Amino acid sequence: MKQKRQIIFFIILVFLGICSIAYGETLLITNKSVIDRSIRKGDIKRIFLGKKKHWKDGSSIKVVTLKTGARHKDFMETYVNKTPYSFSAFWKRALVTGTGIPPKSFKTEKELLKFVSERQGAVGYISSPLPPSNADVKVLTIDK
Amino acid sequence: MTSLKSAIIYLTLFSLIRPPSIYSYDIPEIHIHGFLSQGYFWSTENQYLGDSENGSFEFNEMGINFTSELFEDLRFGIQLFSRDMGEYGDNDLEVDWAFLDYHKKDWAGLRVGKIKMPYGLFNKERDADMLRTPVFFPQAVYPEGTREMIVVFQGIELYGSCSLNQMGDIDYEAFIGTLDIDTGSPFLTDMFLSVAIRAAAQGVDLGDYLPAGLNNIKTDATRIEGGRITWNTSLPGFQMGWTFFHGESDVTAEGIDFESDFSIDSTMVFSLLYEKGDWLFGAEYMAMDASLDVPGLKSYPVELEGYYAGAGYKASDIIELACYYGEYYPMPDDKEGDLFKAAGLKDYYAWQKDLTFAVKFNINEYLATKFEVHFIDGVGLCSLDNNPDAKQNWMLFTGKISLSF
Repeated sequence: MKQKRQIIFFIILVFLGICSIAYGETLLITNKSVIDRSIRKGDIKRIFLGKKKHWKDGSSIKVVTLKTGARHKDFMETYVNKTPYSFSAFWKRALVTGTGIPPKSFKTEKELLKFVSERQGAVGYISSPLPPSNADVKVLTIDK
Repeated sequence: MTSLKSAIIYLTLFSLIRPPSIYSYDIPEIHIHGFLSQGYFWSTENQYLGDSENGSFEFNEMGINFTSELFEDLRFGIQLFSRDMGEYGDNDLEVDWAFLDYHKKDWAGLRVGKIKMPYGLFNKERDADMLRTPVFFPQAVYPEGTREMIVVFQGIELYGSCSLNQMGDIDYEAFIGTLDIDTGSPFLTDMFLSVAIRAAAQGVDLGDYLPAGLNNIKTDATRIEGGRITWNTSLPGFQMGWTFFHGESDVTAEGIDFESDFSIDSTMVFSLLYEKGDWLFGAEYMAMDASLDVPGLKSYPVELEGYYAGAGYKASDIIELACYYGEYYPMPDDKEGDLFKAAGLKDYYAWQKDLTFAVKFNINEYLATKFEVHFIDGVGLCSLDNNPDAKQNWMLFTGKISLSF
């Protein structure tokens, strides 16, 4: 009986592990030109809402996002405190009032990763793990 | 015509300040977006914003904007706009906003040109019908008649954002400039109505001093300065805001020799907003304290007060719901209407209380339609000229279809 319980427990652990690998965690990635190594959660929100526009060395931040999907929704709700709809509405308001230009957005993480790797000061998010051979991209640590 | 000329000048300026391609320079990307809406409004009683009792399609807005990042940290944008809202607009084409925006530091950016005025939560975006659930923003704080008066100013604005670490962050805007109110506005005339009411209550006939009455009063070159501070608190989605402005204006009346000063000692708006998932809750309080000098007589107070509370809910990708209740008082020290009665008017000219229910259907990302009903007590925001025999309780129905791209 005890052995049976251990087997069930082991199966559950494996299942949860597979799920977490499949979904992964969110990685905040920047172009390698960015000198910042870590960032406060509150500053992530300010960056994606266009309020913080410069890295520590004064260089410009170039924000990019995904267009849709679970990763986009998770990132917006966790770090920007907005639903994808209200995030989109926020930037449409900025356009109509002239106070900002919405971030460039991509359909796939692969496209976003390529842009971040090529554009100085770029910041975006993808699912972990970071694909190998991406020397032009680094992961920002998020301070709690 | 002047507005059209301005539009051409601004567009020419826009093309000139983009550097020629012979320099080693990437041609900046130009973002072009726009919106178009057509509405209908009908009231069971009283004329509101136009011929509402017979129903009116004089209710449209259209705009197109061009924005470009010319250099790193330097942007330029322009929006051309036209609207017809009953007594207001008549589809004159105008430059809605056009400014240079230099943002080198997060805590300090500078805008120069014709700029949307920070006022409460929603003044800057009041033309973008697609972005809100109701057809009308709460009229207690955003009366339609004030759009021409306080939606833009010409001047400079300093703005920025500062982190408060665990306390959230602060956004601020401070501005100085002029308001371009050179057309006779029914709202302005009604705002000055309080002067005649107060004079009449004191047994003074303003006709001796203002032969043409208060009609066709114009304000020109209103100098204005003020700002807005928004605290995005550490509670996610909760923000508090405070708007303040002060101004002075020359007042004239058409056809007669009349010159006076209109002084806005202070206008303040306190704002609360809480956004949680698909829910949004908001409340605002507005108070204006101003005065009009009547030559040969005295300085009369011109005061306004309004407040509302409301909620919005995004029920699905298609359906959004909203409800708000607001109260507006054209003479806050006479909320019962005693002075209006003394002047021979009904007391319910002294307030307008509005309970509104709205529904919006997002047909797709670019197209939406919306409907709303207002249950209204009082006619404090109705033009007296158009409503000499107004009814106290009435309803207003509106519908609108909006496109944005």
